[in-house]
Amino acid sequence: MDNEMMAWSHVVLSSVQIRAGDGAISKDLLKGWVRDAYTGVHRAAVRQLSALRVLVRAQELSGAAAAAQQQRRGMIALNPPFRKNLLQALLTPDVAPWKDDPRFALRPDKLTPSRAKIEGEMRRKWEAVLHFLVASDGAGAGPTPSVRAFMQQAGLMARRGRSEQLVITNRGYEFMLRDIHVQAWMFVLSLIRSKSSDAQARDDLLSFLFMLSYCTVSAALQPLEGHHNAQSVCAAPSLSCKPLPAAPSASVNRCSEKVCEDYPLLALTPAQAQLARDFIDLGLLYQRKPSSQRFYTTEIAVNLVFGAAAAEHPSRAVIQAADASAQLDLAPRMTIIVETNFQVVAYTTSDLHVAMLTLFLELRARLPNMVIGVITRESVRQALVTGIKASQILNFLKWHAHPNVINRRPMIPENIADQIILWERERTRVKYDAGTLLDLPFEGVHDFDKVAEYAEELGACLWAAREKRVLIVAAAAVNKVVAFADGLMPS
Amino acid sequence: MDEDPSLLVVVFDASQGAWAAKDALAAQGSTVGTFQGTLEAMMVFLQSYLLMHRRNDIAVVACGEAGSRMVFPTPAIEKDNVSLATGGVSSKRVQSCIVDGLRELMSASACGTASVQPAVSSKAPIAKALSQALCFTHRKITENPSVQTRLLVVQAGPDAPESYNAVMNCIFSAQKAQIPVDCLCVGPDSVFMQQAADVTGGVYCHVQEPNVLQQLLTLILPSQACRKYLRTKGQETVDFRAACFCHRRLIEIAYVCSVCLSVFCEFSPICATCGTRAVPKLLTT
Repeated sequence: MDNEMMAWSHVVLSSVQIRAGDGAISKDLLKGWVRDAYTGVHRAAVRQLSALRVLVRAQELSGAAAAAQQQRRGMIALNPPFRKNLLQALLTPDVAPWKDDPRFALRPDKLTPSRAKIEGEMRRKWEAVLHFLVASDGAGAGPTPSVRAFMQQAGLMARRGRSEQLVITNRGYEFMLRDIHVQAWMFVLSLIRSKSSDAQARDDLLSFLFMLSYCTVSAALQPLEGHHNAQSVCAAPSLSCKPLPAAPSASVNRCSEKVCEDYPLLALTPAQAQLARDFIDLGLLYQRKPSSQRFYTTEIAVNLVFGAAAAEHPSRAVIQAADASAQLDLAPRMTIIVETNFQVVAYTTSDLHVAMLTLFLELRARLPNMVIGVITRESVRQALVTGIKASQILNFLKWHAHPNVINRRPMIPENIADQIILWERERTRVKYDAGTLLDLPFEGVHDFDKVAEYAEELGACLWAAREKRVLIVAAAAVNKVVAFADGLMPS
Repeated sequence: MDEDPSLLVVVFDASQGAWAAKDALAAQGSTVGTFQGTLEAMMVFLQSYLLMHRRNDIAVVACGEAGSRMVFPTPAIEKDNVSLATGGVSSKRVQSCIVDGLRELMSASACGTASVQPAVSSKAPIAKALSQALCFTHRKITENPSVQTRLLVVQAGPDAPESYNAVMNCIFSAQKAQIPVDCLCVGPDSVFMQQAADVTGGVYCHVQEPNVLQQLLTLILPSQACRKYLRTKGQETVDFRAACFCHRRLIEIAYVCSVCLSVFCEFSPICATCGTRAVPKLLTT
């Protein structure tokens, strides 16, 4: 709600300022727009905006005379750079990043890759990274050093023992089961954190990320043919019944071309270029060949800052894709049906998906387009031992639910879900506590009870057998209890 | 940013006659809502709407004498399966689509009026465009049930009483689907649109000053959730007059068929809609 209010405040302020020109507005007027019952929300929004330095007091801005200062008391205004950029964003659509500087202008690419190709490449590279995570012993060169470094830094993989080989950790499992947007975002976060000591580089990276979100995946219309400015349309209704020349149909054709926008690599600062190179390694950005001076964006990269919000349920996307005839040939999604007899049918062709499934499944059959496996106690326990959680397994199964079962409630049969949770609880049934067994040589129960009571008071009594005069005491308090028992002994 | 994305469908009245009348007034010095001014304000409004939330999406249906058509997203964009929300379409492309579409529509209706009926009335088939917009909205909702939708009608011409039934049906379907309909009347006051806003819980806004953008941004831009915070000027009076079924006149007192509730301005012994006979005796005594 607050966000909504904030966003609204931005726009209202800017609209007032488009009109006023000068840029300041009285606080009371602003308050006047809000219903009395919600002044709290309004105040919070204004406070938040001020904290972000979006709103500033008008007095701070003007270097004018004291009289003018007096007049501007109680007025607030948008921060001038923010205001300028907001206006620019509203009035001139598509100021594409890195495009306005003629030094870095690119000649039209001779071999513009299609969008399908870029997205396909992205999926392929990303899957290679995930595959490395699941089974690093697999064939292939594996990802580049920067990706390996990231894996270790973020704790997704660790060296086990003295061997050079990296092995997946608990966090790595969690990472792998997440949505691709979240994965990309985690990667970026760890990168920014590793740079956090260098303020300049960090600012560079952040501005790069924000600029990325202004990029587009497919190119805009070429300005030469299809573009008409508003002026030319406005001529239309001027009562002249002369037929206007119909818009060239070429423009419509151009719209449908899946041409992608390219961006110059040279316009980036060194830190940004390094990040861009990492992104290219991961497939978030696309470069035709390493020596190329241009890069293309992918959908994931553009929506990076908005990450999870942009993620739709994949199965829903599958339904839509089936409807749309001209669907991009992206890497196939996996869809899973969980049956009540613990059998799992997964429709997939990808090795990565199979590797992911084998984490908690016992494979029975592999057909060209599907995999059949069984959830067994042993297979689930194996996953649990490595640190993966039952809820993660269930979420994974839900996330990839087949369109046919997606509307079923519950999506995963109850007995399966419960059983997996029970298997997880099995592992936490026994609790370990370090303790010492005290065999107290008392004659009667009276003294023993005193010692047991004392241990109880300390919260250290783990177990007591009154008949045998045996007591187990937590390791931390054992000295105190022994001293107390010694005091009770007949000398 | 946990809100659901929302979809704004704009129905833009591009009827030549109405705008021509406005522009003629503008030539005499009136500055209220010229075509160019309104269109430019519309573009900035759409742009700010898109800035509100990354996943916000828009659609524009234009209607003129030649009919109504989907200006954005165009069939080509639909076929590509890209959208604004995923960054597949740039806002520049949106604008050029809108401008191209309006241009084609207007030139088509200019041809039509020139050759067939030179003095055709300036009544845009708002009803047609409204139903097209509602169909589009319905499709989007079935694709993604969590999407919030709203409608904005920009009307320039006067109401067309002959389309009373169609417009009212659209309004009631919007009400049933819980889609608020906001209206921006650049031309004369519109009875239909007042009722539409009232029934669906939208905002009715009659432009009387040159700054259309200001009204769009302050009254129409805030989402439903946000509007409850605002001290907006509600509609003081809503014109609830209906158009009679016999002559399509707006009337205040009417004869109503007791069976099908059709409204007539003149008494007739047999209902023209359902054929029920009124009993004259009861009327006379």
